[in-house]
Amino acid sequence: MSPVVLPPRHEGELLERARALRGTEVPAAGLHTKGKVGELVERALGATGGSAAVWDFPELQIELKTVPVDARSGAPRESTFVCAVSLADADRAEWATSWVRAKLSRVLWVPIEIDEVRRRAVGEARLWSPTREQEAVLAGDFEEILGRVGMGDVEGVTARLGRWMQLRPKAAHGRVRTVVRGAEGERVETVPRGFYLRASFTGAILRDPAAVP
Amino acid sequence: MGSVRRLPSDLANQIAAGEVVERPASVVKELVENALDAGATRVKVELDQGGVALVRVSDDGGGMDPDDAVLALERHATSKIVHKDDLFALRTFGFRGEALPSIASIAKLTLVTRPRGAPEGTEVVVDGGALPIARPAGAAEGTSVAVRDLFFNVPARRKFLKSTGTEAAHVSEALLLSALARPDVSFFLVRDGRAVREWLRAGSRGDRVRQVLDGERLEACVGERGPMRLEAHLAPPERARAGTVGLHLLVNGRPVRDRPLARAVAQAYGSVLEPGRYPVGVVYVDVPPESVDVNVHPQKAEVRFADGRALYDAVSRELAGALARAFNLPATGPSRMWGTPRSPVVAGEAAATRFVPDPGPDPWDLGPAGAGIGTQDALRERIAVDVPSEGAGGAPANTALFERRGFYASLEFLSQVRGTFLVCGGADGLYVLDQHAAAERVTFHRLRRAYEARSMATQRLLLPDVVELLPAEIATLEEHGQAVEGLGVELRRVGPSAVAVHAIPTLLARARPERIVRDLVAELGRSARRPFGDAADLVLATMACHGSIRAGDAVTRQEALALLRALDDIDFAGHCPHGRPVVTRIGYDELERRVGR
Repeated sequence: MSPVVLPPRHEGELLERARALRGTEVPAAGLHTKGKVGELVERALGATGGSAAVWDFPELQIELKTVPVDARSGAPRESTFVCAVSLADADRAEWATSWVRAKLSRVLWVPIEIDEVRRRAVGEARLWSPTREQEAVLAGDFEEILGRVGMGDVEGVTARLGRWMQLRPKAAHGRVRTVVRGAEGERVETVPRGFYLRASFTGAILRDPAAVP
Repeated sequence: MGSVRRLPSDLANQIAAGEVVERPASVVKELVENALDAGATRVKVELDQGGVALVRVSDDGGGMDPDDAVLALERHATSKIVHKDDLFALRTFGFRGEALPSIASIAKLTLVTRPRGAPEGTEVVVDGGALPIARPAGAAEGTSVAVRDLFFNVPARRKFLKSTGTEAAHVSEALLLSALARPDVSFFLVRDGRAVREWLRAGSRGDRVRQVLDGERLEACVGERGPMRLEAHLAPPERARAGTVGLHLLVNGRPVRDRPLARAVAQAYGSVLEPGRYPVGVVYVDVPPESVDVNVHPQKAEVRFADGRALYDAVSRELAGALARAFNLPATGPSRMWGTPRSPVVAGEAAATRFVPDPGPDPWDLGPAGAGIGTQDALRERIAVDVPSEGAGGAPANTALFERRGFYASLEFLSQVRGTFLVCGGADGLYVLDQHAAAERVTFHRLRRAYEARSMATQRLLLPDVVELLPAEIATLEEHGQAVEGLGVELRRVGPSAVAVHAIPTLLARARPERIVRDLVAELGRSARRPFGDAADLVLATMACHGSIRAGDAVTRQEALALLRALDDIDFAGHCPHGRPVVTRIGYDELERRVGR
């Protein structure tokens, strides 16, 4: 999907565009596929990253995250996908050089407010970077989760693991499988997975960017 | 002068370290075991950067005086054994006197210790195997050992280390094993300044297991056979994982890796675990110390049993019955069902510590006047099975609920959904059956019953189906010719690389004959070194899988009702032969809650 405007030249311009969208109603028609609302917002803001493994705004190194939230409470209705994970490389993955850290280093959050009659409108956007405390927790989650995969216990990693970030299946359909090595080198077929931010965390930072829930 | 020289002690220590210290987790294991052997009631482990930058283990144990603190860093200096006979009656985790000097030779080590009641402590510093420097120091009672910059002087070893997270996960696992070994001790793990594990002193092994495997639905099985005592806390088959990573084994309180023992535990689940999958849980095996040799592995992670085969057999049998009832599984262990040779643990004074194979009648099948494994009541006395109430373990009670006779027939069939699920209404909620798993379970049961009774009904094929195979595969089929016939599959060789299928079991009329033959070949090949009896369940399970209604098949109302009735005729309908649950319930209360009623 190509952008309808040129990419923003700097952070201020991006934020300005995002704020200008506030209150814009997102038509429901044709948006039954999950992610379509996000694509619309991307186009409106001039994102060029698409689904490739780059930032949505590569020149600015900013990631766009649209979050469906309850119009009244502002609470997110679901977790937020960050990026897919190469499970086979988990035993070498370090937070400092990880793609998930790069993606989360600068995020433009755009809430999509959904009311009781399922009407959707763009909420107030905000730019966010994790504070030192927040990053320590995210790094801890990353290491705890991928550490278990790295030691060969991919099946022991459930969505319950991780305080703010979790690892969950992420595949085009339920039959997709990837191969990782178990603790004793055995082949283990498992579903591809990706990192997600828990709704409790995104909800907190939408209210207070420095929150440590 | 000859070319043979005695190695300097620092080099000898580094070589020893190669065996003892593989990664930060090895350091933690050795130091925690020292702490436990010193009588600690609290053990705290701190890590920085996965333990590569820092591992600190602090305890409130007995501590050491200044002389012992220095001596402890010398090779083969230990307080744990004195005579060689002590090796065969070990009560401590360590005994080699190798760990501390090995660690000190490949890291920067600081040991701070104060014996109970002593006015001051001692600090000993060793950098990479150099001479220890000791000085008086203020210290809490007990011992704290800090290991910094692991492998700083052995870069070749350092590059074998994995990521920070992976190394930290190994440390966490090592501490978990120690915690399982010693429920009477409190353990704490701090990573990069964050407290990540806290297991407070527990009243029993069971309590500790529930602490460390929080969230797992575990069944407790306790039993005794001769000199062996067994305590297992195991999860349902659907929680099983590839490999043994979720199954923790402890022999005489010592965590061990023992693949045959793990297999014995998996075998107790019968056909519901596929080869290569092992249950989640913890198994404690206690045997007289003199019947197990722990001095066979530098890290003491492996042991050797005086008669391992008999022990494994006993473990399998002891667990099979308890697991069958707890998880509604097939009620027999594989070796008992198929009559393979039995090798009991012999009780009695003369043979109290030996496990002697005996092909005769099974002395573990206790008669009516014996300790009573033959009766349900007596069995309950021998093997306490703790089945928690629904929801207690945080997981749906998927099996006991459906044990009631007539339960499935009482359900009102509503519809087939997505060609996969059969949705039924019950008195307390909606029941969703996996149509393939349910049909597979029924087919498996019928196949197995017919196989046991040697009365497998067959359907002759009008035109034989020719299947191309490798010569080795044909040899395997011929080798097991009688067993294959017993399964209702009639084959004749036609040429060097093909067989003709003349008949298949009537129960598998849906399956393609070629599929059945290939399943047979695959399962027989996989169990090449075992007697066929042990593999029969797996063969039947695979055949049942490919001969049953599959996901995507349309199921008529009549077929669905027949399937429900058939499920009532089998006594372990909760899981398919591969361990997946057949049915799940969504309570009406849950539905009401979700729609805000």
